[in-house]
Amino acid sequence: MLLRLEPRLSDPSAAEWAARTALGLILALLLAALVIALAGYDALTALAALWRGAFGSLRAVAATVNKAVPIGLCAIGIALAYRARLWNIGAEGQLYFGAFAATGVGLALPETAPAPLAVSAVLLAGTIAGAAWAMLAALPRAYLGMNEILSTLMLTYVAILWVGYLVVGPWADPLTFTFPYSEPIPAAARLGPVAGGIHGGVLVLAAVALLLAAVDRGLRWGYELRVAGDAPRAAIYGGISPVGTVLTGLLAAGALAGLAGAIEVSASTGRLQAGLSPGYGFMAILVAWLAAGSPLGIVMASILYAGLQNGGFALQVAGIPPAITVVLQAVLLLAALAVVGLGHYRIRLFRQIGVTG
Amino acid sequence: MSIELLLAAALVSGTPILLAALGELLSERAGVLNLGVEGTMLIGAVSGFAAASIAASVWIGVLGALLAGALFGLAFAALVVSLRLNQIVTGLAFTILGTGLSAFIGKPLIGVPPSATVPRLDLGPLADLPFFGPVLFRQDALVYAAIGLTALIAFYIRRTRPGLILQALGESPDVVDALGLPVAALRYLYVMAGSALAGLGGAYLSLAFTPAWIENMTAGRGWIAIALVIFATWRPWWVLAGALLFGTVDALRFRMQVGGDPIVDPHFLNMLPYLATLAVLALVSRSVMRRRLGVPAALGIAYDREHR
Repeated sequence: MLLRLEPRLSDPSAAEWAARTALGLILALLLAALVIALAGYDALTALAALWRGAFGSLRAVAATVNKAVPIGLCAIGIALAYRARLWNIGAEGQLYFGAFAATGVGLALPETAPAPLAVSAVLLAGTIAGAAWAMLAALPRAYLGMNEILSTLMLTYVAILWVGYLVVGPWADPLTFTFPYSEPIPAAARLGPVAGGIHGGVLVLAAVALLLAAVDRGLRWGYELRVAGDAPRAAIYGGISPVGTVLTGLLAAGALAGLAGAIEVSASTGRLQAGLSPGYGFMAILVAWLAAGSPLGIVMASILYAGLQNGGFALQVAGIPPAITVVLQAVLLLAALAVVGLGHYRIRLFRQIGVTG
Repeated sequence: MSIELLLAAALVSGTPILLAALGELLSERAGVLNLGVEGTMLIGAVSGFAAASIAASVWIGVLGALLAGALFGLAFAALVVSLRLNQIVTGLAFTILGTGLSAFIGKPLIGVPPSATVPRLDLGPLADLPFFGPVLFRQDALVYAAIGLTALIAFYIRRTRPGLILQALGESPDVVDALGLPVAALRYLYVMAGSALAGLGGAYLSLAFTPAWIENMTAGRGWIAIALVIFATWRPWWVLAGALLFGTVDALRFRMQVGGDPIVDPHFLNMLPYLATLAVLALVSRSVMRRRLGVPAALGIAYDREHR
C-alpha cells in the first residue's frame, strides 16, 4: 500500500474549510490534553484554567480582545500582501517602528492638545512610520527583486534594536531608570476604553477587517493584487503594474502593522518600552495562515490566539509551568496547520503495482 | 582590551552561529528554508546539557544535542516535505515549539552547575606562539570541530558527487527526480543533518560558552545564523568568515557592556549583522548575480512531481 498526496482540482468550499478548521481545533485540543497529561498534570484542570484565563470573566475577555487587536491588525496586513503572494514576515518590526513614531509624536504634543486630534495624530504617525519601514523592503523588492521574506525579517531586528536604544538612551524616562521605558505620552493622546476594559483599538480592528472584505469584493486594487499574485504574466498583459502591486501591497501591510504599534502605545502601555510586543507580528503570520486570509477568520483566529496566550498566565496560577503553554501553542498550531493545510490535497491509497526486477 | 583577546573571543562567540549556519546552509541548499533554527538551537542546548549532566560526559552531551536536533528536524521535514505544509509558517511554529519545549524540559536544570565542559585542546608549543597562540591555539575542541566541518562541507558540496546532487536538489529537484533519486528522502536527510548542527550550535552555548542551561539562552542567534547563510551567499567558507565578523560584533558588545564607556551604543553594534545581510541581499537580488552566486532557485518550494 502506498499513501499519496494529490493536489485537489478545486479549492475546498467554505463549509468544508470551516469543518476542517473545527476538526483541526478538536484534534489540537486532544493533543494538548495529551501533552499536559504526559507532563504529569491533570488535563481537565489545566484546560479549565486555560478557559478561565482566556474567556472566563469579563476582565479576561477584555484582556483577550485587547491582545487580539495588534495580532489581528498585523494579520490583516499580512493577508492583504499575500493576495499578491508577497510575504510580510516583518510585521513585528513595522509594529515597533510605528510605536516609535507614535511615541515621538505623542511626546511632542502639547499637554493641552484636544484629545481626538492628539489620538488621531499619534495613530496616523504610527501608520505612516509602519508603511515607511515596509517601504525599505518594498522598493528593493519592486525594482531589484530583493527577496522580501528575508529583507522584512532582517529589518525587524533593526527596528527592535532601534527602539531598544531609544528607551535606554535618549528617550529613557529618568523616573523609571531601572526599566527600559520612555516617558509617558500625554493623557490626551491615550486611546480610551469603549466598553468594559476593551479599548478603542477593537473598533479599528473591526473597521480594517471590513475594509479587507471591501478590497476583496469591490475594489479594483484587490483584484489587481490577486491577479498579480495568482497569474503574474496575465497581470502584466492586463496592464497591471507589478511594481505598483508590490509597493501598494507591502506598504499597506506595513501601515497596518505600524497602526497596531501605535495602538499599543496609545491604548495599552502609554509609552514606548523594550519588549512592547511579545511577538504579535510573528503570531499574526500564523493567524493569517490559519484563517486562510479571510477577514472574519482572522478576527476570530486572533481572538483565539490571544486567549491562548492569556490562558497561559492562568495555567501558571494553577501551578502548571508556564513553558507548557508555549508548547501547547505550538502543538495547537501545528495540528491546526496540518489539518487546514491538507485541505489542498486529498490522500489516496494505492496498492503497489508490482514492478519486479 | 588587547586585539588578541578580542579575536579569541570572536572565534568563541562565532562558533555557535557558525555551526547553526552550516546546518541551515545544508537545509537551504537542499531547497528547504528552515526558520525554526532558533528553536532547534534551544532544543540542542537543553538536550546537550541534560545528557552531559546525566552521563557526566561532555561528549555524550554533544551526541545528545546532535540527536535531539536531528529528531526535531525529522518532525519539521515530515510536515514540510511529506505533508508539504508551508515552510515559513511551519518554521515559525517550530521556533515557538522549541522555545517552549526547551524551557519545559529545562525547568529542573536551571541553576545546575555543569558536570563537564568542552575541554581545551592541548596544542603544546603552538599555544605559546605570540599573537597566534592566544587567538588560534588555546580554543576548545568544538571550535576546531566547527572549522573542520566548514572545510568538510565546502569540499562535499563542491567536489563530491553527492554534493553535486545536493546542489541540484535546491536548484531543480526535478532533475534529481529524473535521475531516479528520491527527492523527499534526500531532503529529509539534509534537513535532519542541518537541524543536528543547529542543535550542536545550541549545545555549544550550554556546554562551553556559558556553560549552564538558561531559558532562551540563544537570544536571537538562530536568526543571526539564518542571516549569515544569506550574507555568505550559501557558501561554507563565507559562512566561516561571516561567523567571525558577527562573532567580533558579539564579543565587542559584550566587552563594552562590561568595560563601560562605549564609543558606539551596543544596540547599533547589534544591528550590524542584519544591516550587512541586507546589503548582501540587495547585491544578490540582481538576476545575473543570483545565477553567479548560486542562490538555490527552488528554495522554499515543496517538491511535487506532478507540478513540475
